[in-house]
Amino acid sequence: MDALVTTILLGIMQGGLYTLVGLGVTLTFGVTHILNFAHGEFITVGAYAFVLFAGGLGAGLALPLALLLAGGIAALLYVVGFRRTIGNHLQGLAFSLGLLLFVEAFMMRTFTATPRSGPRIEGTVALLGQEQMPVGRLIVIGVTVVVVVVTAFAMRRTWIGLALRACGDDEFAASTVGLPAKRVGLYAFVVAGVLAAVAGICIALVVPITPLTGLAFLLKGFVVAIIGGLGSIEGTFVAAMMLGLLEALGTRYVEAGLTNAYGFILMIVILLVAPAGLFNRRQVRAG
Amino acid sequence: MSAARSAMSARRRRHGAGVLVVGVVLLVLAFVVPENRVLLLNAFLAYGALVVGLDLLVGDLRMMPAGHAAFFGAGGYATVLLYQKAGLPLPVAGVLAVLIVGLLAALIGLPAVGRSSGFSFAIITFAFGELLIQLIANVPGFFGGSSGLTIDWGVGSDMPFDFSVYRYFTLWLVIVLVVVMLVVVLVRNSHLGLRMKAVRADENGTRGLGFNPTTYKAIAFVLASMLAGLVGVFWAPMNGFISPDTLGVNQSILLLGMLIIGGVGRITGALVGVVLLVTLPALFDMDPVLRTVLVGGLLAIVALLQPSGIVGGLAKLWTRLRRPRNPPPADGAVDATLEPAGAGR
Repeated sequence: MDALVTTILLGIMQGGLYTLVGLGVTLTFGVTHILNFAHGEFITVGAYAFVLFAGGLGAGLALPLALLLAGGIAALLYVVGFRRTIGNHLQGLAFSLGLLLFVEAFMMRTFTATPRSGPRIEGTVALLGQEQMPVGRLIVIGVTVVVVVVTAFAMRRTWIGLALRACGDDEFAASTVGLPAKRVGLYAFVVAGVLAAVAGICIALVVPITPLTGLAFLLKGFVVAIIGGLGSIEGTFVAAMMLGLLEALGTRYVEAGLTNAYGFILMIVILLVAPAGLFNRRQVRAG
Repeated sequence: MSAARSAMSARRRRHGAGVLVVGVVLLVLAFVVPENRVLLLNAFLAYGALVVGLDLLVGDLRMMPAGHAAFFGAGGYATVLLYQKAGLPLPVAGVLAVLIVGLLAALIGLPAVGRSSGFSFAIITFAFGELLIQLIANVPGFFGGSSGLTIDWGVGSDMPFDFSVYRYFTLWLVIVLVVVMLVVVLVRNSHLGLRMKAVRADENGTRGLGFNPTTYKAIAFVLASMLAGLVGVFWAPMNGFISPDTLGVNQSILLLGMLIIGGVGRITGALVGVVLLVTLPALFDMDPVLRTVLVGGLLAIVALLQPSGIVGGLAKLWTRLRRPRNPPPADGAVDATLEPAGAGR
């Protein structure tokens, strides 16, 4: 019973991280119809920026700097590259794949494959019985909950959120009221970059990071975005929680070596049963 | 119809003859190349075959698999395992390996190829490569784990023509490249190729004509994957060693990068890409990680500025120079840009 609580908490933590990544994938896809394979690199950049800045400047200053850096890079890439690929998804795919390779190999060359640890948060909290939960993981759960709630709120109440949703719902109608997809796409990329950097920082708080961290989480981000129905925010959240819990429970009670297979199998089954994903309201198929 | 058919068969003969000429040149090269450059030639042949086969998906159907190298690796692993663990002779192991790869491709492809926009295809192939690595890393006893499998065979001495193992396999890789190029030429200049062209141009329109686009995409995917597996069948014993690195997503994107940088839709484009990004860096002893950085950056830039690649861009330039005032011809090799597949959306 105690083990079950720990496992569920771990699943929620993973699910929260997947939500952050999947939200970025879904938002950029919803507005620009670009499937960004380089999205995972925002995670890596955010995580490395945080770890490196925290070493020199302290965690308090490193946090905003890392977010700023990831958001800035996302904005730059959008303005220079992705904006020109809107409407030609193969060009967008090729561009993002090239970026993925470039950033990953560049990080590998600069920082090597040696895992690096961020600032550790010491201590554990006793759960119901003998099980202990590290404080760092609880903080990550808290942060992801707050960020997801704030994002969900911002999507409904703020101007940018309304613009993003408008563009995702009806590109043409949005453009007639002064919200062309090419401009709103910039907001989508910045929001996605910052969310990915938050995920990266959270990851750096609980596990050592390598230049390949981003790629591993990107795969999960894709899986949850597709299961949830590309473009759907609620769907991404539900799918991410499903995947996080499935992985945690499967690892604990079924077979630990298969952790990464569960999401994949889930995705294939759901694509076969519901090609548009779980929460896709429009008739845009998941792909 | 018959005029079109004879034009098609004439082109098939012309391209086929070109392939055979290239094959003869490579065969001569296999005999005369100095011993320290044999591996370089082998790398060119293997990458060339992989990229030309990949073009069947990217160039002819605008499908973008992000896991093509996985099938290459699967072919190599299957051969080594069947040879080593099951004790089958190498030719039998190779044939079985290609069949296994075809089966895997059919399994992976079925849920993915039917979707018109190609996103879940890219993602599922991407995930397949990652999963294969996980599988190999998690079953080290059988698959050799992340350090890979070595093939221990004492054939170093008894090769025909007194060749080294590497040079012996050069001959086989020349054959593989010629076979792959011939398959691509035959497919392109056949009714299958015409239907694939129609699927690329307008998927829904193809449905209206009574062809199921999914069938043609599935055929192309399984075929291209089997060709990749075939390369793996000869690469793994040649190299004497196979590791999960060879089938990762990075490899797959490298292949896509060579193809798109060189030029999509043409065999020459694919081969130029391989020379530029495999042969030249190896000649100048470039650090592999630096080369990956270079390929990634170039891929992003070329995709943005000249989506038809270097050869496609040169061809465009040539057409423009040759006919300064006339519009470009309506047929001919104008199908090399990365325009979206179908007017599906």
